[in-house]
Order: sequence, then C-alpha cells, then structure tokens
Amino acid sequence: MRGIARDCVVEMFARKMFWIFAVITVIAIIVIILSGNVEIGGTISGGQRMDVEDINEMLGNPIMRVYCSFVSFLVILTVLATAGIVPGMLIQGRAEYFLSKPISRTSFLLYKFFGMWLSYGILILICGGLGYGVMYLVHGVTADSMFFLFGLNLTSLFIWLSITVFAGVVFGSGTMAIITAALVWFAQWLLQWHDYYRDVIDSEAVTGFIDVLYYIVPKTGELSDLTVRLALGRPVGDWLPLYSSLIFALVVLVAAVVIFNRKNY
Amino acid sequence: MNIVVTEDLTKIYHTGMKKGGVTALDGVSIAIEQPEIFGLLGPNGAGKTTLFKTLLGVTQVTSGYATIAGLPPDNPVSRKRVGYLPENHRFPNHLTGQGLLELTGRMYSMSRSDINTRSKMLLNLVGMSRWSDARITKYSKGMQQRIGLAQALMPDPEILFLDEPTDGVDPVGKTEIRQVMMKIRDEGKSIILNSHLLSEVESVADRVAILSHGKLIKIGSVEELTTRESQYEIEAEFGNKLFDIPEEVGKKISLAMDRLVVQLTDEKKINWIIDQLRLKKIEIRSVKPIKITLEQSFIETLGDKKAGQI
Repeated sequence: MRGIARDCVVEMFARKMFWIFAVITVIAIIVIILSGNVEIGGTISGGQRMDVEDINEMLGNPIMRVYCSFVSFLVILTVLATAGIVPGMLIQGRAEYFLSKPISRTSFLLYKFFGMWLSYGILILICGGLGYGVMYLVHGVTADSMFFLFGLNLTSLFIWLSITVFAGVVFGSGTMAIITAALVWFAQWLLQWHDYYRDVIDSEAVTGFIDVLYYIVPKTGELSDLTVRLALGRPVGDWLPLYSSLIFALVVLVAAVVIFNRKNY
Repeated sequence: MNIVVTEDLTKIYHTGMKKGGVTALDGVSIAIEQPEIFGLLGPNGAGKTTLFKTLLGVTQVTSGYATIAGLPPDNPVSRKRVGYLPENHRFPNHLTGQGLLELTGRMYSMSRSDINTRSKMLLNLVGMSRWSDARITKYSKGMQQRIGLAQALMPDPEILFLDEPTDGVDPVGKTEIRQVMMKIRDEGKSIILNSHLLSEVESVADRVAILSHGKLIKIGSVEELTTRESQYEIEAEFGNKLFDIPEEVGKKISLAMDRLVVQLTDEKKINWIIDQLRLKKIEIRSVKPIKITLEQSFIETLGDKKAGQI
C-alpha cells in the first residue's frame, strides 16, 4: 500500500487517537466491572417480584448490552475522527503533494480508505478485546458469537467510512462529511419504520418511494440490533440489513473513486 | 532529447462563475530538453502553476497533448522519476521531516534501505539533519521549503518541477538551493523552475518561457531574451568628429561620453559601422550588443503584449 496505509497508523498516533480510545476503554472497563455490583430488581404489575435473572431472561445480559454499546461507540468515534482525513489530504497545497506521486488516484483513495478501516478496525478489536477479557474475568460472561459482534461492527465501520470518504471527496470538507453521515443515519432511522408509514399515508406512490429508499439507504441501526441479537445468542431471521448496507457502501465507494478521478486540484 | 513536450495544451476550469469557464492555459506548446533548467515566467494568474499541475496529473487536460518521458500525465508511471515542490505547500501536519521523506519514498516504491540512505543524504544536503525529528508544523517557512526540496529530490528525479523554491528562504539558503539546481543540471537532469525572482531565473536558467493569460508569448535562451535585438554600444574616441548613420543601416539612439548606441536594421550592418569608423580614423575601444536584465525583458515583453491587445 506504498506507505499510505502505514501513514494512517502514524497519523492515528500523532493525533493522539490511540490515547482517546485507551481512555474510553478504561471507562468502559470500569463500567463493566461496576455493572456486576448493580442490584437489578423490580416489581411487575400484579405484585410479582423480578430479580436479575428474570430481567436477564427478558432483556438479555445487561453487561453484554453495555459491552455492545461500548464497541458501537468506538465505531462512532472512529467515524468522527476519520471524517476529516480524506478532505484534509485534498486541500490546496497538500493535494499537489499526494497526487503528483506515481500512484493512480483510484489506488490512492482505496489505499487510504482501507488504511483507515484497517488501522482503526484493529484499534477497535484491541479495545473491544480488552473489554471482553475483563467481562470474562470479572463476570465469567462468554459469548460464542463474539466473532460476529466484531465482524458486524467492522462492517458497520466500513459502511460509515465509505459514506464519509464519498462526502469528503465530493465536498472537500470534514464537517460536510460528518453532516452527510448524520443525515444518512437520520434517514435510516426514519426509514426503519417504513412498514408503519402505510397506515398513515394513503398514496401508493409515496409509500412505494419510501420502500425503495428503505432498500437503498444503509441500515446501520438495524445492523446494530442484529449485532446485539448475535451477542445475546438469539437467532437472526433477516440478513437483508447487512447485504443491502454493504451494497450501498460499495456503490458509494465506487462513486467516490469515479468522482475523485475526474476532479481538478 | 525532449523530456517534457506539450502541444496546443489547453486547460479550461469550469467554475460556474463565468460562462464557458476560465481559460488557464491556451494552446501552450513547449519542449523541454534534458539536461536544462527551464524557467517559467509570467504575472500572477498567467497559468504557470496550472501548467505544472497539468503536466503532473493533478489537474486534467482539457485539450491538446502533453507527455513526460513519452508518457501522458494521466499515466502514473510518467511521474516515476519526477520530483515536485509545490508552491505554498502544506505537507501533512502529523509528519516529521524524516517522516515526510519516508512517506515520499514509499509512494515511489523505494526500498527501505534506499529510503534510509537517500533521506539521510538529502537532509544533510538541505541542512535539515538537526530538525529531522521535529514536526513539520514547527518548521519556519524557510525550513519547510528546504524539507520540501528534499522530498522533491527523494526519487532521484530525472525532471524536477520547482514552484517558487526559494520563497521564504534566507539569502544563504537561496544560494544553496541555486547550487543544488545547477548540480542537478550538471548530472544530466532537467528542472522546470517557476519563480517570481527574475534575477534568480536569469542566474540559473538555460531557457525561459513567458506566459501571459495562459498563452505562451515568448520562449528562448536567457542570452536571447536579455539581448536587445540589433542594438549595439560602441565605445570609441569620437572627439569632435561627426558620424552619421544612413536610414538603411539604422539609427543613432544616443552618443555621449564617447559611447554610441545604435539600432541597426540588420545585425550584419555592424560591419558597415566599424568600416566607417575606421575610414574616419576613429579609434574603436569596444563593440558589444546591448544587454538588458531578464526583468527588463520580461516587463517589455508583457508591455508589448498589452500594447498588442489594445
């Protein structure tokens, strides 16, 4: 990858991202450790007493939920931390440095993309692995589906990075890349209830359009639910959110490469 | 051998602000030989930097043709033996001087040992060895230029594009950079130099091109551009002797302090003048073509171009 991927690691350390991830991991570990001391109990209507086992049965393991949220937060943090990297490389005075080297623009952008994905992905794996280790040592929690949990979070990171890289190439601004990612997140949040809109909207055309949008827009929210289900050892009925989101990411990445190849700097 | 060739090279930026776009390069045709130092001159917005960017594939060609070492700019291999120091560069903030050279070497697919050897040599050459581990953001403007020159030299380029290389550099540094340029030329390589410091261009360049509004308006050797066509200064003992020049030969521009300045209709007519001076027994001390600075030539050329437009 001609140093471009390695440069992602150098940049990650230079921007002290490693330390930010380390601090968050320490906080998460403390929360995981303290979670064992939390007394969870309650009374349901009818006077029946519920203890932590009953709630676990109903909701799943709360420590595992905390853990899933922690890994998802690392993904969000990575998206925010990396959104400005590609636009930052393409500012006047810096783009000339990179683009005058004997590397095609396609390779350059893809090296950078995969460099970011791999370097931050590995950092997430390390932090997540530490959290999992503590969870196992303190609470004896194990999950056979850990591989899927990490796999889906890295897939989610891949999808978000493709969106921010695309926006970074198109707008040349890290802020716009974050705004685009936020808009996509908002759209997918709205569209996850696409079935319910049929009850309130009469127009077939509009509901049809909403359905089409639903299938196009990545479904990272549903992907998170899917991750939690896997982590809790529950069955997954529909893998569509994963497939369609990945297709969206690949299309967006190809579009970013095409636009990047045509731009003047 | 021509290492860089452009033919009718045109670049139009479609900004949406102006109908039809902004023409940054308008049918530029040049051929740069190896070895030579080729100076690019022109006022702001003349298209000098755009020419660099177009040749290096940073900006797309609108029409026309360009090659570097026989390959078109959109082929990345054409940049394999090319070094570039951009104007107002902003190298990645997170890198140190050494880190910048390492990244540059990797992007040129250099081996680790080559990167180590060459970066050490170049840091020494540009006088940056002491600060190689400091972040680029901590460097002064002059230090950034020095490290920029080192990264441009990293691939041991056959052709070097330098855009305002001495900008912000102290006088000693300027001399050192000039010496580096001449050394590179002596090694059989070429440099395309874009600088506003015309005295600098005059002292190092072999040939010069003047661009204005994206068009190539003059090209020639420094000698040609700094010599006033058919103008001579003759130093002789005129005393009170009268000396007239017929119209078909030329005209007297000035005669003072035994110095006669003439404008001839033809270069060869200088022999007629010398013959006449000898006939009149006027002792000739020297005959030399009138020389001007590159700056004067540049200003006159741009003035002529402006007058032509009016």
